[in-house]
Amino acid sequence: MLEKLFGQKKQKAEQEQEVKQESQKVKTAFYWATSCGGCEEAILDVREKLFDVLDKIDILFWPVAVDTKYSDVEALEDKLLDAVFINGGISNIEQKEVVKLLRKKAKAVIAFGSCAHMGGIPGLRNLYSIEDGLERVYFTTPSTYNPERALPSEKSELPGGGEVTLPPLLPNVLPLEEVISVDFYVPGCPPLPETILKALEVLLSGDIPEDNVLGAESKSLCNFCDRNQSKPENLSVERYYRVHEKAIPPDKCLLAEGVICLGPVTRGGCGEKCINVNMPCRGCYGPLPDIDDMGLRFLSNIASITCAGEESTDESKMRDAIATIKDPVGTFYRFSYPDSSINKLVRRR
Amino acid sequence: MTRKIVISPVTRLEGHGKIDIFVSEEGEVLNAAFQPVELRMFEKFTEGRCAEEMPRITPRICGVCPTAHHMASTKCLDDLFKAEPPEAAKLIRELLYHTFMTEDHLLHFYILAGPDFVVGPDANKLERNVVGLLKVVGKETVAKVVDVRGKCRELMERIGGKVVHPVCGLPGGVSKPLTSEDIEFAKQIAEECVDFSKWTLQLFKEKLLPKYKDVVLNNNLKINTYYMGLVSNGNSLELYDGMLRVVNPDGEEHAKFNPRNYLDYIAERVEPWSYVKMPYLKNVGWRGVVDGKDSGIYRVAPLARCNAADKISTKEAQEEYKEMYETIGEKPIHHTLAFHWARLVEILYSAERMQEIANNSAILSEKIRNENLKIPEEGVGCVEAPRGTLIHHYVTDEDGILTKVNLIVATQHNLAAINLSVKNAAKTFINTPEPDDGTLNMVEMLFRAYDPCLACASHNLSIRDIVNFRVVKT
Repeated sequence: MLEKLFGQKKQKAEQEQEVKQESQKVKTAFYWATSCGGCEEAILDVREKLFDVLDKIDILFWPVAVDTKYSDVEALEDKLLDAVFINGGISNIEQKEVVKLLRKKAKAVIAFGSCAHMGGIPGLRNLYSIEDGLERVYFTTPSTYNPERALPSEKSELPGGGEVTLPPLLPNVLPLEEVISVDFYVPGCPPLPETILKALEVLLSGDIPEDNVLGAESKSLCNFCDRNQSKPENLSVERYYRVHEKAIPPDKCLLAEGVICLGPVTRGGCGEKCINVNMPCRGCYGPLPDIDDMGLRFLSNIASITCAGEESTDESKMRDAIATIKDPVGTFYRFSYPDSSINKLVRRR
Repeated sequence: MTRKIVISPVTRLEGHGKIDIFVSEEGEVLNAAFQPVELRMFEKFTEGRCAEEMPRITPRICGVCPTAHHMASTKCLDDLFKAEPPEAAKLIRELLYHTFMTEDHLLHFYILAGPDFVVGPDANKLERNVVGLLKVVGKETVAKVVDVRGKCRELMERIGGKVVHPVCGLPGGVSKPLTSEDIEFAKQIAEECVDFSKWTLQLFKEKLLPKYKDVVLNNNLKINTYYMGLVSNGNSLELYDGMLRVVNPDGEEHAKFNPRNYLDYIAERVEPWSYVKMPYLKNVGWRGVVDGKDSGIYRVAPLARCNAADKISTKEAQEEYKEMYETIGEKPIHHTLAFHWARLVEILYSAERMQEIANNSAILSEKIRNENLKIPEEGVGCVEAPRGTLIHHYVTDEDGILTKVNLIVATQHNLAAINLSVKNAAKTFINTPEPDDGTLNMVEMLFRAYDPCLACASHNLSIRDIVNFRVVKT
């Protein structure tokens, strides 16, 4: 196998054939904004089927794997790219400019993964002001030694000369659709390889679902969960447990046992991976088609199942039960806070 | 007039960054900087969250090494709730960890850095990637990489639930026991990993090293720094547990400490030109972005770990470790491009560890959770991520709600050194005010040696200067 690495030059005819094939391929670009790189890994996890995909598409821009730069994108004709996949929310000026540029060059833009779709976990930063963060990160973290109270700056002089710049931050992390128009969504943190392949299939077939969400189910996760059979018809929870407080048998519905699980409001299609190792759903596949605000809907679910077995409404008992839920914002809105009605309201002000 | 060359974005790494190079009219490089340009704020927005949810939140610092964050976080919870995991849980975690290390290092060698060496550093930029690699080496080799990586990730999914962003870690344990089928699968994969990592080392030593020896051993690209890494008994290289050991540029032990005491040894520097804080050795001090014994700059990640250790505990990796030092003829090795070699030695170590762990029958016990959790207060968790030492430090109220979080992550430790390496590379390779794409890629090759993860490095909120920095309203 080693010899192949430094193998023979290609025949001329073979090369010409390749050039011809290239021109018929679907032209794509991939970009990451405020994300973690997990969406990129998920694409690689398509494994050997990736080769089939690579035969059909041309990747003109993809910072993690391809060496073209922003200037190469600028040089492309408008609307030349058939599909641009963008993951991550938008949190600084550079990302805002790049996605606007990509929008100009694209026929279709796909918000790929939870962060582009709803803001994702980095979107929890919208719970705090930038000033709070400044204080913590650059002044009060115990390992930081900063007596001069230095701070990164948009423009600065390097030691040894030369002016360099840093892109300014936006005050909030935004779902992609609040910055540019989005044609399609692929949910998940990250989307499963199966979801990605299904999404591509749907995209190529043109048989697009009404809500433009590709690759996931339109029914809730509970519909696909093996534990669902154990869920009583009339659910009533008297106290809630955190994941470290109680081990749940592998056949029991987690929510029925009092462990907060976002299954009822979350789209299926994720392969129930978390549930399979006895951990509850945190909602990364996003809300069901008829739900706008995931956290709000889950809150209403909780209200209806807490002490629901009581014939008379004993408020103090309900209050005690609700008090066992810690950090509802960070749990119910784990992936969707920037997309919530409350955060949108705060941002408008 | 000084000319400024901007490489933006830097490519084939994890995260967002750029390089600025300042060149005189005569083509002399005057200065250069490498800046991560993205910024999040994990240390702030995790305040108020439930501590036990951190293994499911912090992996979003980096989707390339989510398992490292998951594990540092889980170990931090052990410390926070004062709950030692039962033996089986510890073995399950370690099996997950070494499988992750193997596939992650492989990804870097073949997909991110490989194209420079195999396709060529100055090849057409549209070819200098995995597709180009495919054309040169053929589908068979790339298919092998994809296959081994895929199998590793399948095993990781069985253990951790999800492979990107695992969910199995709990304070004092894991959420699911393994079955004997899982272990049979693990044994088979471990063997394949051992074989493939040996094959990859052979490829590196026989084909790539001879071709690129002058670049790898170029003295202009050498920087003399301190090195840090976890070690176990007898100063063996360690990834999951142990003490942090620091050696000085001469290879002598400078410090050895329990990661819980990291604040006594490491401090972080804020510079106006960087969103990312730069750690340095507290008792050596910050002298700016310079190398040498008087500068507190240290390096982490594969080469640093090899330098900070005296040996490797597994048989075949130890032989490769010895050969690397004998061939290069120095210890510590200061040649930055030797990071690639050390990374391959580590793959073999992790693959051998997978074998050892899979063959330990204690892993099959059903006892996987220590349920005797104490009232939480403060904890520190530390692992060696593929890209270097990872420290998670949490403080909570008595309900286990986070009140303070501090994170020092892999690439952050290396940032000052990466800046030095990029500057050296620019000075070495550029001799015209208008260098071509291939030359600029040679500069990028130097940061790629570190396998930097800017997603990790930019986990903290990075903030504008209160006076000068514009916050843009949308």
